[in-house]
Amino acid sequence: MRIALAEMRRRRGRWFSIVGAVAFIVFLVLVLAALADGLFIGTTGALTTGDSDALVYSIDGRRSLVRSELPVSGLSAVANVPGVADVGALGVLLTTGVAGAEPFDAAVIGHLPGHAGEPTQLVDGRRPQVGESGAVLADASLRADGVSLGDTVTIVGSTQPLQVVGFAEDSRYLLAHSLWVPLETWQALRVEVRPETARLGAVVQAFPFLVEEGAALDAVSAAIDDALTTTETITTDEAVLALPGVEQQQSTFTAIIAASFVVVALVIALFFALITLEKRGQLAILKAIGSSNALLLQGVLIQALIATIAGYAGGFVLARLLGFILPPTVPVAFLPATAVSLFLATVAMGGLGAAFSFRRVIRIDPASALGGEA
Amino acid sequence: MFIAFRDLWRSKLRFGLLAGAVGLLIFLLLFLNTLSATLLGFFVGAIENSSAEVLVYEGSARRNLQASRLDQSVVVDVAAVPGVSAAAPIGELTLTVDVAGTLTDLSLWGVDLAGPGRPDPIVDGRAPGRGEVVVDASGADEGFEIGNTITLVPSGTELKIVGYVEDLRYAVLATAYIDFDEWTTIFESEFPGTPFVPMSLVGVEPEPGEDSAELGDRITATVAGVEGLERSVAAAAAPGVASISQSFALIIGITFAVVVLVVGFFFLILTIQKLRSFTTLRAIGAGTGYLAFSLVVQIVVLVLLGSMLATAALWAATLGSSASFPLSVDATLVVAITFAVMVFSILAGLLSVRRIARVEPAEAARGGR
Amino acid sequence: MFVDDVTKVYGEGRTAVRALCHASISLQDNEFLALVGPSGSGKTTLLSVIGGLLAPTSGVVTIGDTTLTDLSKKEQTRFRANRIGFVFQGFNLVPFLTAKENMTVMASISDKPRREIDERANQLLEDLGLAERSDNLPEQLSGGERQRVAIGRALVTDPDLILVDEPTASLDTELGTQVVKLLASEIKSRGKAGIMVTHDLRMVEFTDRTVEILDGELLHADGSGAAG
Repeated sequence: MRIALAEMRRRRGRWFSIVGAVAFIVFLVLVLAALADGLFIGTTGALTTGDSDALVYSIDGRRSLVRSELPVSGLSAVANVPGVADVGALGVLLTTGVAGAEPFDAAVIGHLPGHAGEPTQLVDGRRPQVGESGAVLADASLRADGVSLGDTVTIVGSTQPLQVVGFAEDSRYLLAHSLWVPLETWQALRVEVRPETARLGAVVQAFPFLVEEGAALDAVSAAIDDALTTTETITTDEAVLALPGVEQQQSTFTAIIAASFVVVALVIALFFALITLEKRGQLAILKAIGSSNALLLQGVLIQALIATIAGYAGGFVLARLLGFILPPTVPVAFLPATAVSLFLATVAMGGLGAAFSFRRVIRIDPASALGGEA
Repeated sequence: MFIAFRDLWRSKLRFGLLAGAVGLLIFLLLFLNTLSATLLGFFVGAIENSSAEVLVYEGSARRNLQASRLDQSVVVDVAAVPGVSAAAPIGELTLTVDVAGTLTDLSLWGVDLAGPGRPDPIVDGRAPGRGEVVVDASGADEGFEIGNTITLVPSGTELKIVGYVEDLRYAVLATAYIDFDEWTTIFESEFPGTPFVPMSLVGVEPEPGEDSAELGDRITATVAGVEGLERSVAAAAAPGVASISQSFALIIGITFAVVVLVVGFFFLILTIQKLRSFTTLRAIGAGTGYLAFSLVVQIVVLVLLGSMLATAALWAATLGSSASFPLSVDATLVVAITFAVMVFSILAGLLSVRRIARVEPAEAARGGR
Repeated sequence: MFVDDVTKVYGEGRTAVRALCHASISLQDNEFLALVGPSGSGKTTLLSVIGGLLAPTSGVVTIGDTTLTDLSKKEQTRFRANRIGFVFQGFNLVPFLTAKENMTVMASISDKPRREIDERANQLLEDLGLAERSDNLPEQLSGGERQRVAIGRALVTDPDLILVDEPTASLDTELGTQVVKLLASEIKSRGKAGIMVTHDLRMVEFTDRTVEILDGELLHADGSGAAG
């Protein structure tokens, strides 16, 4: 161990290069993962932010939030089903919003304040009250566009101004900025902007709900569908995947992240295999003076461990720094699970690479250290 | 050059490992490029590759297709603008349909089958007649195949699929193209009692020699309440596209930088290792230029080898591709990326040259090994 | 130490090279043997076989009560670490360890206690005239200094058998003599055995016995001292 550490101390330049290379490789994967996670949250936040176990859709809607139509009157029917602790409502209108002079892609989301499905991560201001027309809870991403509490937002095609009373985090829908308004406001807006929907009457698109403590979600869902006969109840996770483009996006990114993980893991392994191979001469000398294979392997592994840990730390810091300077149009989210699994993979692969090369190296005859004449 | 090759040959394993690492990173670059192009194509292919070079949106919709609703009379106004060779209505509607026994979502585009916005080119089958549509070929896996029938829900209207187009998908949904008048009828049956059927866009074909961007601006200025855009600009402005394309640009940029840096680092480390040999070579009269050239040769060989490995890996990946997840080996992309990586790796490798240049030839004469 | 009928052949058939041919030597405690011969005569090969670095094609090597050639590679390595001190022709110092560390590294490698090695190292640094240079890296040392560090490393574990390959190659006469004298005194005062390969006949006077080697075969010479 001392030998290994002494080498790292005395050959600082070289080991800094190695740590640097590992750091960049780690940085790559962390950023990729953050982008994938960021895009996911940006696309599905509206559903994931609401504290709901499942959502009720109309069968015709075929799991599509935009296609589903449920009469508002169905709310009480759902609430009455045994096992339902709380039920809310969701309606989504995709359109363009304007704040100040700048237009932005907007998802106007009608909901029942105080019930399941409303955004849980309030970061500023307050929520709109039930029936408070003209008040809107905006997604925090709008702040980067210069929108603050108290500002007025208008929807293209509508005359009703909306005042921002609060901001919520991670509540976007399909990468559009979400504007959460009380149900009545949403219905009025919808008819204004999409006159063809007037014939539908008072409808919403989904009922998010929570089950009571101890109740079985499957059973309650089945009961709801039986009671209302025209509905399909699916879990929140299923609903998220059914959002347009999400599955495609997810599979694309899963492919990307999987490929990157594999590539990075192999690159790190190859890297350390290379470095260990380079040490042939030095290892031969040590063997010649009587060092056991075990001792040498231990040294090589310790170096790999230190280098990968230091490299990971460097890559992590770089990735976080990048996250800070990115423009708001590029969504990033650094999730702990990803960071931890990458850390373990990096260290493991570094060790494996070093060990793999080591096997080759120990087959070298210590007599090769002799040099000189026979 | 001789030294470079001898050195490479002597340490086959070392260079093999290095080529493997570089190859993997280049593969990642190729893979990412391919995937991002595919994903973006699925989002806005219908807009980007539209046969209408200029697309006219409702002005207040701010380039958002979902929010753009125009009265059909606008088509005439747009057609009257100088420089417009032809103008035609385009309507987009997303609905639930039943195809091959399953319920799925469909983006239905109503277009003038002979005008700008028509599905073109039709790669298989033929143009649609009454009650018929052509679909984007990527939907084949989801049941949208030539010969199948799409049943609209809940109206029950049936449409037969008679042809395929490519790269004209919208919003990641299966996409179909139908005659505009039929589309209007469908819209009315989906939303009975609707005050008017809004079309989404006006597709414009410019006169020969007209610049699309300028024409778009002219349309914006001339016709009230509209905004004319070149189709690529319209595609870039679609909701979510900016985020996705910027994310991908970032991903690819970083991967590229990492590839180059890793190659540079590798060579720096190897050079420091071989300092003794370099010293000897310097002592016997090899100039820095010669040694630098050797290094460049090695980098070139390395990147080429890595690129070949990457292409092989990408080709292997295409074996797992499908209509909904298409992957292909684009020769131009491979060449471009290989070249770029090589150039920048050589630049990074020059760091090693600096190290070689600092070696004192007199060192070789000193005692000991 | 006994070397019994050792043969070392490299290669096969027509291209076979006989580096050693039926060589036999024996060595007692307190004996310092000089192995003399021209280049290519097999001196280093013999030394390597004795030190367990090379396996002979045939024959047996016994050191003390251990039959070295019967041990596994791992056991041979351990044996070498603890009971043999080897000074290589190219010194083979670890380039990133200081002079002192090149000696104390044997504490990690052998089974001897660290404190003991440390004390021995300090003493040897003094005796070899390296006290001022103990914190220098090999690249900062002259050829002669490196040579002495290599010798120090060989002695620091207090080995039973000392094998030295051309110790005076890069030293001037005065230093060379000093070094060989030191080796001789280590051997004599501690009852060790030692073999020195050399072609410097001036050094032979410090040894007890000389053996000549030519083309892989040993020619015994009698008596001590004078070149013959």
